[in-house]
Amino acid sequence: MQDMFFSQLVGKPVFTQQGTYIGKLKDAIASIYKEPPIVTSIVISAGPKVILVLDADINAVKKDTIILNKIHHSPLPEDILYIAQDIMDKQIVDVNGRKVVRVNDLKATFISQKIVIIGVDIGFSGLLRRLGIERPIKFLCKLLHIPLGDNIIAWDNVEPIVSEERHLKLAVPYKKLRQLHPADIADIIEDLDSHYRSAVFHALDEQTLADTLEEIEPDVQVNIIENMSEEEASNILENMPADEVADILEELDEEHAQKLLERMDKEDSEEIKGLMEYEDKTVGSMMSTDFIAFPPDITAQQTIDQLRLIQPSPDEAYYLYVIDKDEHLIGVVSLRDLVVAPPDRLLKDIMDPNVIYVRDTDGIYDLTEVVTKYDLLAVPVVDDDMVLVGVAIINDIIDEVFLPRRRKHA
Amino acid sequence: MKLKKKLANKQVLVFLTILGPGIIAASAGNDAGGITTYAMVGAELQYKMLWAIFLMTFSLIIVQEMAARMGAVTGKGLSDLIREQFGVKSTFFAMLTLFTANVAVTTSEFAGIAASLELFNISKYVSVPVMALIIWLLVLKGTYQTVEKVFIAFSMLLLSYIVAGFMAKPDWSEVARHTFMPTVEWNSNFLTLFVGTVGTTIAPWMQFYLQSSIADKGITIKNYSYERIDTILGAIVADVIAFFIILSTASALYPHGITIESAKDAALALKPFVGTYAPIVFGMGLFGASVMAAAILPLSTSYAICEAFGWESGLDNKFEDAPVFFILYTVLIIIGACIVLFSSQLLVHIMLIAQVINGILVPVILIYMLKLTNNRRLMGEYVNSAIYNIIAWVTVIFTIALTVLMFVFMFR
Repeated sequence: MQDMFFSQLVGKPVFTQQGTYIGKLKDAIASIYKEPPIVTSIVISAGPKVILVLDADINAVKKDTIILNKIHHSPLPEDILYIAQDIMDKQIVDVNGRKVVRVNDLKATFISQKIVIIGVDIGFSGLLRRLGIERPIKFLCKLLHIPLGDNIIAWDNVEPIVSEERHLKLAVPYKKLRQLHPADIADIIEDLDSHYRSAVFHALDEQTLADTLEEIEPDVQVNIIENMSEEEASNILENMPADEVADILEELDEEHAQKLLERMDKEDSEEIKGLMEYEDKTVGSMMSTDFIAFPPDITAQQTIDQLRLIQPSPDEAYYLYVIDKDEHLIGVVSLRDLVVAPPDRLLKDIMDPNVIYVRDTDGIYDLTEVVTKYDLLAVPVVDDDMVLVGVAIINDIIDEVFLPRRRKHA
Repeated sequence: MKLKKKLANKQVLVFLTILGPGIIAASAGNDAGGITTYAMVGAELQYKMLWAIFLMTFSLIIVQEMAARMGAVTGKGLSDLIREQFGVKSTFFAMLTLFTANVAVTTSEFAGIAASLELFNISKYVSVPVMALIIWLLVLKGTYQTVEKVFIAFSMLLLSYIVAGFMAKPDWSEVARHTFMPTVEWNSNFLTLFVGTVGTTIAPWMQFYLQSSIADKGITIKNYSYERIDTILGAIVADVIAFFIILSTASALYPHGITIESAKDAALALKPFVGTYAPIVFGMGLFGASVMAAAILPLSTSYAICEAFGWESGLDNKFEDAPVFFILYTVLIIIGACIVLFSSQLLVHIMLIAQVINGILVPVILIYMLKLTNNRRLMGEYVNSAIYNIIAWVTVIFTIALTVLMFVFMFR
């Protein structure tokens, strides 16, 4: 086993075993099905000509030369990765660090007659090596006692980003990336060049996609939606909470927003349109319309049965609201109260009729006051007629109040 | 309620229509150094350089359009592309070029700040350190964008050159003759002013700035046609303003043999229009333009360099997360301010020298751009057309030749 850097391989003269000079190594090709990538073929430049050696059978990688056993000829497989062209100097995702980094060099090893790419150099020494001044600078740093460590990430922890134009069909596209939390994927997408964003996006399943889009900065959200087909965009938006969709659509131009709304489910689009009517910085503009409300005259047991059926998300289940037949808010039941109550007790006897609520037209500031004063996780939102129209959830309030920078970009 | 909001959006839209990235980039090119160089050209050479401005408009259109198109097709900034297509060594060279050119421009912006405030009797030893600190803080705190409009408004005052140009009653037949009939004087003064004019009109940093803003806005080739118009319009507007600055100083100063040695002299050319207010109008205009560019330049330079080498960048980072970015930004401001403070050169000469340095370096960046825009694997069907390549290469060769001639005559 013998370690080396890819930049040191490029430009090396290549010989056959008999000592015939072929040319200089230009690029290497690896299959994208293999992890880590194993170099299968090499590209050699021989003067003005470019020679492709398929299934390169490498005898030895020496200090100044590369020696091939014999040259095979077989068709070029389709799903290939050109190391120099697709990976070197490009952006790559550091899955552990959850950020986008630039490839300065690649760490390779020569093992059982194969060159294998084992790591990505994203450090300063990689840049120095490429500039051809690594040794003198390292020597200088040693003299001056300045630490200059390598910064190499193992291949297991990186995810190359390939632009869609290359039409590479990755076997398991962005497998490592997809295992990250949507909020981390969102940060990574924001850091990518705009054309690579859609490549990553298309590899995600619809639910992850929706969750990720929700976490992305507004200006990037708009950019992504604008570059999608209407069908694709409306499918994703339907998987997102109505208040988030309303925020995004408000940033789009009106005509485009209208078209997307038309493609959506009628009920969803009505709800979104309603939310879009609210002025910025009002409770209505940031409330969630996914809440759980029950009539007053069902029993605790019936309520619990229904909850099992609905399977609400954790955000929705902080409190259950009780509404009369005209949807007026008349009470609130906490999950705790519900669970400890005897099964045949009616909701109206368990509920607390003194509900703390805000109006949809109230300002965000009033809302934060209510939340902090009463230590609530969620506050019901009513309109002027006391009809329950939504819920303001603490997560969304924190985003709105403490991350104003995110919103300011738009 | 809803109507009000819609209306507000509409207004923003109209505003954006007028001020696209192309127009912003091109008119930001008319900064302190630009104004001073054009004013000197008019005062010293009268109309003799008008033809160059006319021809350079075509070069500027071509070059800016190349940058914008690259941004739209690839979705990447110019420094990213250079890194990805040419590797580390070429990137190092390109970034060294950009850094040198931008140190020069930043210096000239601080010289502009000093010169404009001298009109209000504030010494450069006060104005430069104070403004450097203010700009540094405003940008780092992220509050710059909120006050930017003030400086934009100030710099709009310089549009009065257009009116002044008319009111100075130039000899229009002479103007027309010089616009379409090239004249060259074979001496170092003429050639230096020429290289400076090229450098300030087609500055390297404008191309980086324009391409990044197109890429960051996520404009794709599908909706590129509007950006294209914006870019072309921007180049034309910038050169029309340059044209009128030359025209007004040529008509107001040249006949009296006044050359430009301080901002006061350049302000004289506004007299036909604003009378005794000339120093105030000019001072505020120059101040606004200088501060604006002094805030944008060090920042965009740091972004470009960090992106090329893959270092963390962005104002929302902490210092520990993006040390190179913040150090570069700070160092640029310090160098720029210090050169102005400790140089014994006239402020206007500092500004001219900065533009000359840009003129010398711009062919380097143009060659990179030409190689990229002709790369079919990168640009697909949107590679340069033949006419683009011809105009761009002529610009490159012409600028290099001018530089060589300038040095030949300088040391003869």
